[in-house]
Amino acid sequence: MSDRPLRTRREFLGKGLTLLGLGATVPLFIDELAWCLEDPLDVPLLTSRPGMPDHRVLVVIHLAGGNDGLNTVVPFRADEYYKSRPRIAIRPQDVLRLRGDLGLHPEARDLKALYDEGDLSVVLGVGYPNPNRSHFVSQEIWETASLDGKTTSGWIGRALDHDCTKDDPAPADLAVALSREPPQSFQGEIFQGLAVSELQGLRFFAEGDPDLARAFVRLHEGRVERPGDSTHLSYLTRVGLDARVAADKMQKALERRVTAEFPRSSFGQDLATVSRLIGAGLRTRVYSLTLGGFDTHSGQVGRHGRLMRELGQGLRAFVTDLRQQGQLDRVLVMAFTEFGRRVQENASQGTDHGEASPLFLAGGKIRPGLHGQPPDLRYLRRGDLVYTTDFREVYASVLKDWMGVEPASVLGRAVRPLRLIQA
Amino acid sequence: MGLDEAAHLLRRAGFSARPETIESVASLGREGAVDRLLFFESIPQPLLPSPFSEDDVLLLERRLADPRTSADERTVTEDLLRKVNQRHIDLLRSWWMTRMVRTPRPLEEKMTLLWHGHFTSGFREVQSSRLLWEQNSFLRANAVGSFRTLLRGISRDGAMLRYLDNQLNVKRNPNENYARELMELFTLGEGRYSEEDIREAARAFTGWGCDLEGFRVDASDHDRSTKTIFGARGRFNGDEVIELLLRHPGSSRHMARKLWEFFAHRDPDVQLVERFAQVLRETRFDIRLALRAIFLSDEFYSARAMFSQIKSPVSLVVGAVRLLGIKDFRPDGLYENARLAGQDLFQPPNVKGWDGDRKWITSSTLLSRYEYVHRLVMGPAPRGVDARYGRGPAVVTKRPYDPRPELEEHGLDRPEAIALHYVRLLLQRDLPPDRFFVILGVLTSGKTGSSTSTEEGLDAVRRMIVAIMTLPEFQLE
Repeated sequence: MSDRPLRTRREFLGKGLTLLGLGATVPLFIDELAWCLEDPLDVPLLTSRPGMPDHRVLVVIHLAGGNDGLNTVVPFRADEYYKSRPRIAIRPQDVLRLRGDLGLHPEARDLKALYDEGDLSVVLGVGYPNPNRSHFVSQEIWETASLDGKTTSGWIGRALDHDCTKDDPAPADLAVALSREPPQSFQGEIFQGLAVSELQGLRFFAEGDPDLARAFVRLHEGRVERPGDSTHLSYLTRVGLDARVAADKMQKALERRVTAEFPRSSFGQDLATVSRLIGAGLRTRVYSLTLGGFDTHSGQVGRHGRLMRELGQGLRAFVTDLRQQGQLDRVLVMAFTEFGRRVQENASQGTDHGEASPLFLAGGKIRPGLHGQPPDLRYLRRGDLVYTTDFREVYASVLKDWMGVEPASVLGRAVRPLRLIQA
Repeated sequence: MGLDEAAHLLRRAGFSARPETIESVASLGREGAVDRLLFFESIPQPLLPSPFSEDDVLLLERRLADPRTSADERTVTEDLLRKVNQRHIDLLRSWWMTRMVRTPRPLEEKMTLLWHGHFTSGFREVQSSRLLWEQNSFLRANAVGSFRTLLRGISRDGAMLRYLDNQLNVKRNPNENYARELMELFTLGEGRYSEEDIREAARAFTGWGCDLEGFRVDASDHDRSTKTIFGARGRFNGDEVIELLLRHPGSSRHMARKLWEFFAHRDPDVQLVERFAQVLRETRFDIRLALRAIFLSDEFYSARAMFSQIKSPVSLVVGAVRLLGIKDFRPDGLYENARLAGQDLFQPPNVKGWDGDRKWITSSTLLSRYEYVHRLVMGPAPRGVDARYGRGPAVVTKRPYDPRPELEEHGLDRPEAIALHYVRLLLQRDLPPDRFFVILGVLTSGKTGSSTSTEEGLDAVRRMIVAIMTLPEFQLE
């Protein structure tokens, strides 16, 4: 692949960063990123590191299918809205008012509550130039943060690559997705991320078999090093023991009772899992989840309403649980969708693929309220809303103000970050 | 040939072998054994049907290539093609895992795997299972053939042309990606060429592309003017650049080193590499003859080489099935487990392929390896268990491993004999007494007189096998 950023990273790799503790056992499962050291004798670096502040977490939620922005953040004073949607528009008296001309979908009661508390903000009219209406392509654009059609690495992966490289194993659990495969956004030059439904990466095989577990520990702890022993054997022994500890931590984390009532849906339970993991003191910095079903080509009213309710309930429970644990200030949630939907309703009381859509942020350190401008209903492009905020400006804000990463190095170009996060 | 040497050869040049195979190979002597593995064309290969039919895909691809197709039809066709490609690539992955487990020509598959990680291409970037299948078949057909043939063929390969953007490499706007990787990764290694050489070589490959009919050179896009590469001047095209690369002393050294590191050990001496580099040069880059020299060398059987490598995920996954003689495995599960352990077939992390060695091992990939062997031997997890973790582990077999045929065939009834048999079968060397004792303890713990005629007794054997396969020693080959 021919991207310039990749070349730079390959050269960066060649500088040969080494790991402290060439003879000592280095704990591999530690909460700080100790492995990106340029000088192996530089011990103070063990407690601080370049890149991400060590206590912050980003939770990315993909509203999959293309969330209808117009019925989510409703322009209830716009005639054009009602003319284009005789059957599926939200009535002015039903909206939950955010300001004089915009209101939330009536089923998004919990989102409104979060908004009123200052725990939720909305970025309006988010999209990108030359929009693509294919789910796959548009999603890829959001995941790679690239419009060139050739970049295959993801923005989060690139941010975490940028963070450090080292000679020891890449800590794949820095980014965890609750899905079958890690999303493309996790894929960096080196970094790959982990998917939690891949139970293997987190579970200790002998968890339910105490005799076997004891034997494992004896066989690993009891290994007496002999001169001429393969260094691989020592390494495998150490990692094996560390892995067991890591899995044990993970198991305890997943067993903790949550304080808030999460919806019973898989989305709700995923948020509960993430809340547990955040509270467990694991080193994971990014979580990724999906709420699907937004591709409402027909019969939109009921389905979209249910999704608004599910999203709201889930996020509210999540914020409540995190606050109870004292973790809310550490967490930033970003809920995005790959595109919005057409202004004009179709013949099946639904809407087809469109363009710009609002994006939600939640957490203890967001700048509350509405950001940006809603798309202008009077100036559509081929019947679609024109974006007012480039999604990369949102990413730039997250990268710079939340993750402590220089946005240009990840996004491949200079992007003006929005001010979405409190200092 | 000693049994240890034969076992080592079979581990490296294949995916491990059972005692009976080790014995029969050892009886051939070193040269006989090596030639048997290398000149495998005489060994019949049972036909595995192709993983999928290319017809459906070609139909969809033609529709997309047709300028008369409307925009709406195009969107629908693209979505459908994507789904079909995803299904097919999974079939291809299963096909290859099955092939690796069942093949009577393990070196053929091991070399295909080597080339797969050398001439890399990834599904996410190529988005065509058809092209990746063609690439895989090409690599297999030339697995131990001429390196020149491999280079010329891979430069015409549809998947590779897409993966490294050579489809975009045209006279008025050359794209250096392929030329760079051809020099840096595929032939010479870093530092043996200049940026100028790359730029000029890129021009030699302009216009080289693939359409639905196959490879063709678009004359209007091809730069026929003079180029200067490694000091030589001429109107070189891609094939002529390949000749220049093969003539460059760096290529024989780079490839000799690559082969040695893959099969023997890392960081070989310069003189050792030079020996095999010379074989490559003298045989016009005959891979088989270079391998022959490697496998016949004393250094290949040295203490430095034996048990010095960390098994790749594919090696671990395939080897475990072969060693235990498991017949009803799920190839898609095998692929998944290799992927979870860090080796995703047809999706290397980047153009460099897999770094391997220690990089295979992280806390999560190691846990994945343990989970794999655990499930392989104990059978699928009961439903509902570990719902909090999500979907559950990738299923590899439908039922637990049955040790009875193995125990009966070798007349094993006493615990010590059973433990020793499996240690030797799986680790292919002995354990020190203190560690062996712990393994034995798993077999005998809790059950008075672990009779293998009871389900409890069989379960104890399984758990002992898992204890062996989760030893650090089992990760080495």
